[in-house]
Amino acid sequence: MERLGRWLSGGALALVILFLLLPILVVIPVSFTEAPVFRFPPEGFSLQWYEKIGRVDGLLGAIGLSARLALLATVISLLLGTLCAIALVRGVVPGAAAVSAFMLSPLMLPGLVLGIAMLQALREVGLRDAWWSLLLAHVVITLPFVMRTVLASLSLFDFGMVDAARTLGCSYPVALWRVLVPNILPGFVSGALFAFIASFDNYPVSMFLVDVRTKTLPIQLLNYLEISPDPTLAAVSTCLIALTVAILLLCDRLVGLRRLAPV
Amino acid sequence: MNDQHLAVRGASKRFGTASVLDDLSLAVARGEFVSLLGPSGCGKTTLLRCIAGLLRLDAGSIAVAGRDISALPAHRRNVGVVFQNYALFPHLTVAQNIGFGLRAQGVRAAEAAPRIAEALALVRMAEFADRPVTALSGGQQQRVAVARALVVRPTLLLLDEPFSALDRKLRETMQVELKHLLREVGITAIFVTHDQEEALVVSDRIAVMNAGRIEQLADPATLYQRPASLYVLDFVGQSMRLGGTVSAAGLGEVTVETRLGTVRAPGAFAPGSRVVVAVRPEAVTLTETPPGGRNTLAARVSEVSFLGSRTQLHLDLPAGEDRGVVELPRLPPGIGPGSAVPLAFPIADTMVFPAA
Repeated sequence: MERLGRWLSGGALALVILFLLLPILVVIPVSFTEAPVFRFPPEGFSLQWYEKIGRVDGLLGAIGLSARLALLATVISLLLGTLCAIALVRGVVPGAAAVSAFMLSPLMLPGLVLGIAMLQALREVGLRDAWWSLLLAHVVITLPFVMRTVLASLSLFDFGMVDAARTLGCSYPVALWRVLVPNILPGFVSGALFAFIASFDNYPVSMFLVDVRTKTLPIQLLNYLEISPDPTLAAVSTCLIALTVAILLLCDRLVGLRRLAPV
Repeated sequence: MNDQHLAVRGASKRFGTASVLDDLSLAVARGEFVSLLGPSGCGKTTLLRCIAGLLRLDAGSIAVAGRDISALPAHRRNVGVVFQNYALFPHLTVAQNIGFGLRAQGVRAAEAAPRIAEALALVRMAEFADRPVTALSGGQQQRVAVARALVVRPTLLLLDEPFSALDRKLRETMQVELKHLLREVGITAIFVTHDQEEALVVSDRIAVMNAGRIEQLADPATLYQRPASLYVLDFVGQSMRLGGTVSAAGLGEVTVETRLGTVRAPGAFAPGSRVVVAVRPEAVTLTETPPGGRNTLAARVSEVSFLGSRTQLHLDLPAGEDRGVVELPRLPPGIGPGSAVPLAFPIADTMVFPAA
């Protein structure tokens, strides 16, 4: 009986993993097809769709824009988020629990609501520039990801270590750098990772803030799909999968995946 | 003690409206071990953090080796601290933990290496140099913390409840071991503790603290035998104490009427004063025909506790200021809960305090 249960749960796990993974894995062979349509199994082998990424109007520009946007938003969120988290954890803020819940709230808020609200608010104060609007909105989107992981790391951090470093000859900022930063590095890395991805593939918020010349990758991809649905999209997706895997491997090397996603 | 190594003068510190240190002064000689003993909230840890520079005094001064360090930040005081939970750096190995302070002070690696090795050998942790500190036992972590604090050659070592994280058996071993090690190094050390037994073991002198002040600063024997106040009497060791009224006084001796009988004690109080007489548990014997110079009382036993090397009798006394603990090397036959016992104790060992 017990064995049957174990088989059943193991089988369910395998099925769910398959269900999650198959659609993603299908994209990869399709990107190498010779046929001009999405079809599985792919016919023949060619790199023409990868070539086409560069020739499709605005696609490379959109990749560059999304990358710049995600990178900058992540860096700003890391700096702001860490300082905010220290303030919240050290208990210098009255009502720290309520404040941190508020700062994490964009995670729970539907993107559409956030997008409309940002559009309204930014236009109200007279900001019409798409790039700056997107950057501000993406900082709002990425901040909770950084806050969440840094708060979690900091709550486990013993600030007595900073005191110890100070009595051993480190000034306060040096003590933070040499003791606090290495100990919450996994929090930094995983927070940055989630933040980058959240910004890079954000659709519902960006949708309201882009203009004709400033389009992020997800929006550009959907536009392209509506005009000419060919395997170029599969090629772009495959590149993104490769990039994600590369980043994960790098993080594993740096801090270890186990520390990135504590169970 | 004119060789003052640490001198705290008029130290005051408030947190909001609460006064944590209240015009406190303390002088410690070079090479001396002093314990700050008191219940939580008495200000002992605050005083330690002020000496380390992790907190600033509101008023008063702190001098080490004749130099006023009150205005210096923590990293320029060169005062070593062993923290309660050791605060070792989990991202570094044992050797890197010990070398942390040397690196912070800009000591070159070539010069640091032999000093780290020497510190490791001092605490008998040489074979653990490259282990992560997270893999060490409590006692080993404590040794690393001590080595890390000592390797920078501090002028003073502060230890905040250094044994509280260890289990009882290990604590007793480490207390003696650490005392011996620090004596060897010849450093001046201040221990903060709420455990009176620990204070008695490790210190040359003990400062009993109460509400931000030092109630009494004395060597362990004096503190135990001649406590300056009821507070010290109760905090250090156990006692039999009885409230009463002075009925006669003269020639450096008072006669006190207590609930259990008349007690004579050396002291000077006006007749009619409310006082508390007390005697340490081991000064009491059970005998109906004591030799001269003793007080005798009759009491009833409420509970007997066997402690191995001795046996404690708890006396049946009404609640209030009376408390009765008597210790005997061996329990006489036929004595148990409910027995009536004749108590005798030397007049010279009887203490008398003004009632609180």
